[in-house]
Amino acid sequence: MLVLLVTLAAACSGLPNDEAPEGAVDDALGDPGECEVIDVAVSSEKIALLQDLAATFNDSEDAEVDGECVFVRPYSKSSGGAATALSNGWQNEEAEGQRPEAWSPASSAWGAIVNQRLADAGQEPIVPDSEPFMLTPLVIAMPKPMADALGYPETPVGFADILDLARDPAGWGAHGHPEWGPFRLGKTNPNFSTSGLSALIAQYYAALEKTEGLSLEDLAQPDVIDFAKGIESSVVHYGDITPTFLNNLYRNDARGASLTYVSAVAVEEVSVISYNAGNPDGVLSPGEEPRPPRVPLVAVYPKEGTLFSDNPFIILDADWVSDAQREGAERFGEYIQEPENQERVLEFGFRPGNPSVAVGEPIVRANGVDPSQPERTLEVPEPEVMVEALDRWGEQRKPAKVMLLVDVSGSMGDVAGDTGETKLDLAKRAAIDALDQFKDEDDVALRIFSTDLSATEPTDYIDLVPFGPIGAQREEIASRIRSLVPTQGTPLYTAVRDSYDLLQREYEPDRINAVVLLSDGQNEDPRNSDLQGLLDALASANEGQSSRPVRLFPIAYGDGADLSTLRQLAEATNAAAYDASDPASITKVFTAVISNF
Amino acid sequence: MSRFFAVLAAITLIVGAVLVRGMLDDDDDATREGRDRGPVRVVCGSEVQAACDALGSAYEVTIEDTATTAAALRTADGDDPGIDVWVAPWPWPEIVDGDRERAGLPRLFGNPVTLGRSALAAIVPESIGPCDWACVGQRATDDLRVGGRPLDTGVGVLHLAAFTAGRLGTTTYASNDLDAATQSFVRGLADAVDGVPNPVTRLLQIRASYDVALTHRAEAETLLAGASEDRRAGLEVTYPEPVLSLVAVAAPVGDRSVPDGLGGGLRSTGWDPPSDAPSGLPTAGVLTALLEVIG
Repeated sequence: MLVLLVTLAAACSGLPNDEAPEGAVDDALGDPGECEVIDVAVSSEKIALLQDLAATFNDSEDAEVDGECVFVRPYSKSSGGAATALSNGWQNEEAEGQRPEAWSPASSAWGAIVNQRLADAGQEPIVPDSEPFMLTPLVIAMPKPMADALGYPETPVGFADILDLARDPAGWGAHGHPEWGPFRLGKTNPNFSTSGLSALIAQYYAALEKTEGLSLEDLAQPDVIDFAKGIESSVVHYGDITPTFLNNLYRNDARGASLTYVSAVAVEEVSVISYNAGNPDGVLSPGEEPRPPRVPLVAVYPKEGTLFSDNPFIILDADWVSDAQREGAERFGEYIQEPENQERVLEFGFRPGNPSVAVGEPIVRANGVDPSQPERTLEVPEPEVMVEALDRWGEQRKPAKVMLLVDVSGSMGDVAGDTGETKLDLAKRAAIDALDQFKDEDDVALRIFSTDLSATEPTDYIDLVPFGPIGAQREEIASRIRSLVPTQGTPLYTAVRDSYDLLQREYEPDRINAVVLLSDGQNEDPRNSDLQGLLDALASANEGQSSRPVRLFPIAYGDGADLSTLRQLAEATNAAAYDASDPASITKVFTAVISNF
Repeated sequence: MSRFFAVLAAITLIVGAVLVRGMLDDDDDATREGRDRGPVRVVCGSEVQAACDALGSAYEVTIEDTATTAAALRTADGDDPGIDVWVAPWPWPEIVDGDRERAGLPRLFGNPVTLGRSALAAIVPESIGPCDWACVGQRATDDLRVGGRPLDTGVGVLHLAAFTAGRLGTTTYASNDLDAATQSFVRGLADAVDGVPNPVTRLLQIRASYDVALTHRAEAETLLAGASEDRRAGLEVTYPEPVLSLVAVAAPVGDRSVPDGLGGGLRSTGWDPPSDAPSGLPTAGVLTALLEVIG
């Protein structure tokens, strides 16, 4: 029961729709009272497990230092987000979440990146070497019929094969299945996600046909750059967390359409187990019962080798960590390595870090995974190489064509928070900040909507900046955003439909085509209140192997936003809705949304 | 009767005095002498941590990488280098003192106390077949993935010495035997061996990490015995020729005392007791030369 309760309280990074905001310390573990609190930033996929272990630890005799109790309090924070915050000294707790004394990212590679960034800034490292306490390899998850079509596992499959598939104009037709359309890859943003970072490193190794010694010179080779761009070209969209893809795939599976959304997703092995168990995001919502999908996933262990997420438990060498906190954290670190607690690790689908615990259920072939795999591992590159790879990914990723569709209805003028700023003020600042995350080649347009906004048809929206490379019009878009003022009502459905139709008409197959919708209200348009009609139109536009997939990423802004409707709209386009019901979170949420491109 | 009680009281006082004296003596064992009478400071290399684990709380114990301690001690103040006893693989204290002498600094260490020994070993797949150190070293740059402690650290450099002994066919080589071809071999090994703090644990956690994990007998047997059956399946411990032994010593700074119990701590984790048998280890000077080769 405790596991279930903690699972329900689990927070994920991002944050697509109904999950708790990342960085937020929830009260799932109760009141720490007078105990010394040790905050632990934990990557999202293992927050339920860590909170479970913390709950039993806090109640145990181990949770005591010099006669005083300690209280371990894990909270969810994406590995990349925590790495960025630590690199900057974790200065803004309001935006970044509680400053942690300990950290468990999905991979120790993030610690190396933090230390490298600190060194580049002339600062001392704060992330010491730490022991992993559970492991899970990066795999290429494929719907079983697709893996079968490639002959896996008898025929090894790797990133090079994915590049071949992505480049083949016949798509799946080359493997006897034209009905599946082109090859579509799902990959997360490596700046946020460990599986994204691992996939990025793995594809570089695949390009070079080596398993170690990735160098800065390697990354600059023209054929390596071509390989990387080729892989990225097959991406349907990015995202800050893998559950975005797996939830969409699961919904499509329920409709019998899982084979046309995505052909493969770079995820951790544990995600395949969760998906096949009917819990695609690893978090059970209230009342949710796990139901296995019709088409299960198969974990393809790349033939070139792969990387492991090694989940270190790190006590930060930072001046804000007291001796008592350090000692308490050390005790918790020992506690989670104990065999009985490592058995709990296994229950959650991870491979135990303590070798005394055997790898068994649920890591078995019947669940789509293979405990005897992988046969090769890839060396984690030097930190400066990883930092360079991340920088280069910003240029090599698939370009995007994005319409920013901003609600300027009257309610956006409501005061948000104590500073007197309105919701629109906060949103404007967040949107302007987010513009920097686009690469110069991305085409971005700005459209605002509100009832009777324009004197001419169409009256409900105005294109302030047409599509064009943002490198040339970043400042113009920012200037236009700065000048926005709140006006009338919210013709939500009309604005969405027309914007979506525009992207469909002007669809560019070599780009991620998307609408980012920021809205704080509900549809207030008596001329168009047909939600089902809109949902049907959006869904049909995304169906079929020759579809023109345009993604709609809504941000539900403020507590008046119609999150439920926005979620339906997003899911109809195989995208995700983001919850910014707390206006103060809008900067963080905007960042998460833009990570899809 | 009163005489009996007087004698009993006298005996009680004497026994009490002896006990109190004994307790004071015990405390003295863990207390530094001189003006600064803090607890005795013992630093253990991470490879010989078990020795320090046996010490009581009266000691100030630090566990750290041997090479890290060595780097600090090379230039430390001769009067108070910050530690009282260094527990490390031999001949690291001699390497430090040699470096200090060459830098014009006074030697730090008095006579070391030998605590235990453990043969250098490799954990390999059962399918590998006979392979001496020269073979493992050659194949490390060819078809075997080899994990070990970094070759410029405590036990790592001893494995490097073993590889070199294998290549040269003798354990009694000198630094001037390290010709260009041997130096190239040594540098190739430094690139080829994946340096991690706990190679055996890594191998047991992720079998695909390595084909071979460099270790020593006590560590290998302890970790394999503690691993689940599926993790240790297909692995075996080998002692490639020529056999060299890791020797743990406690080196006191000057004439300071070495705490009791250090050797017992090692033996509790499978180390052999000290012996007069040759260890096969090269001299500190040769190891220094090997360290210079790999830069």
